[in-house]
Amino acid sequence: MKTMMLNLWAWLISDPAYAIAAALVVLVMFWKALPAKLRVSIETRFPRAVGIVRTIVALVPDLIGAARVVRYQAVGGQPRVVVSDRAAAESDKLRELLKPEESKPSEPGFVERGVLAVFAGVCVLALGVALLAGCPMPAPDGCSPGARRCHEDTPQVCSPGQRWTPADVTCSTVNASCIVREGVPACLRGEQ
Amino acid sequence: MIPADRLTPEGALLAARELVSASHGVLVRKSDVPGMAIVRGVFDALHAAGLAVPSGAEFDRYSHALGPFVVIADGFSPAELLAVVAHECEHVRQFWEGEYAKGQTVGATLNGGAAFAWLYLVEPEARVRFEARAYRTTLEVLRLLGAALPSIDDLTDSLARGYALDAAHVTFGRQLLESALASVRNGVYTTTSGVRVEAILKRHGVL
Repeated sequence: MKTMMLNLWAWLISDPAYAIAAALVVLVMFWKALPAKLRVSIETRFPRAVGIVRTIVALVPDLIGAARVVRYQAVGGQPRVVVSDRAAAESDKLRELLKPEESKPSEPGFVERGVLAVFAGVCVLALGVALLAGCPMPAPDGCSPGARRCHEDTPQVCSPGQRWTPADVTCSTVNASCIVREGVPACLRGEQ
Repeated sequence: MIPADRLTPEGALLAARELVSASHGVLVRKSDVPGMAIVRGVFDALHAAGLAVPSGAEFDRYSHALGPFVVIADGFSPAELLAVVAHECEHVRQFWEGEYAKGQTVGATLNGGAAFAWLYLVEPEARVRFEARAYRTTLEVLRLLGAALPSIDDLTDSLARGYALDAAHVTFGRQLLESALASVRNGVYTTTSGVRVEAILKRHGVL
């Protein structure tokens, strides 16, 4: 993907005509992406500016074509067929530049690329469900943020949201005890 | 010789695969994920805008868990690979089960599934809690392998730089990690993924 984008960028800046054409394409896409109401409102407020841009967009492709004819045929003296060949060669060059990279097989131990399509789908789905769910945090306990303690054999820290937050499991479940040492509660073994 | 020295690249990958499988996850190489250049660009833009998130170059070195998918960056040593995969597997477990398994602790815990995704993305307090638990897994694996544990300042710095947290939440994360560090230094392993790694390494004769 990165190589393709870089190649496309390199091709675009290789010729001012391409760069201008690309800028116009982006401009048109941006314009078309605006809601119709907003476009009408802009056009009503700035009719001349929009008119000039529209004129440029309409004329530039023809101007570029005309410039090529002047450069290669009228000035360079090449027959039209050579000019067409040149355009075809440039088109081939573009096709070559945009050709997708050969995809390497995944290394042993890692998932194959085919699974990654499912991956993208799952991510989008999970995020969508999460957005719909809008899950809240647990209710605050009203503790003082930064306070720490051992409570029911569990190290806890009071969060900025004033919730007693477990800093670990209940220590007895792992054959340890909750001990506060130098102000830090933790599950420790062999200490009283 | 510490256990980390007995861990070959193949052995680490085998252990990582076992761990991911036990966590009901899928192992993905980051360089195989399409569109990473766009994500990198977004991180660069956010970083340039002054948000406390990694730059694009730093992002390349980060591994991630997205739902059940464990996305691992390239270039790790065997011990690092296992520690990173264990960290991400703890997130996968959180995705399936929530912050803690039911009945494992006392206090209000956070749910898994869609709630995990929502809370992680939207609530800095939840993000710190999920990350502190996953950092503890990393500490447990490093200690199991006999590798040096990072200092509390290093851990806090990682939290501060990587997760778009304000000062109050960084301090909160530091407090959670102080408890974790004290416990792990004492040889107490409590995270699901940390305990699984211990069992896997014992089975393969690394421990």
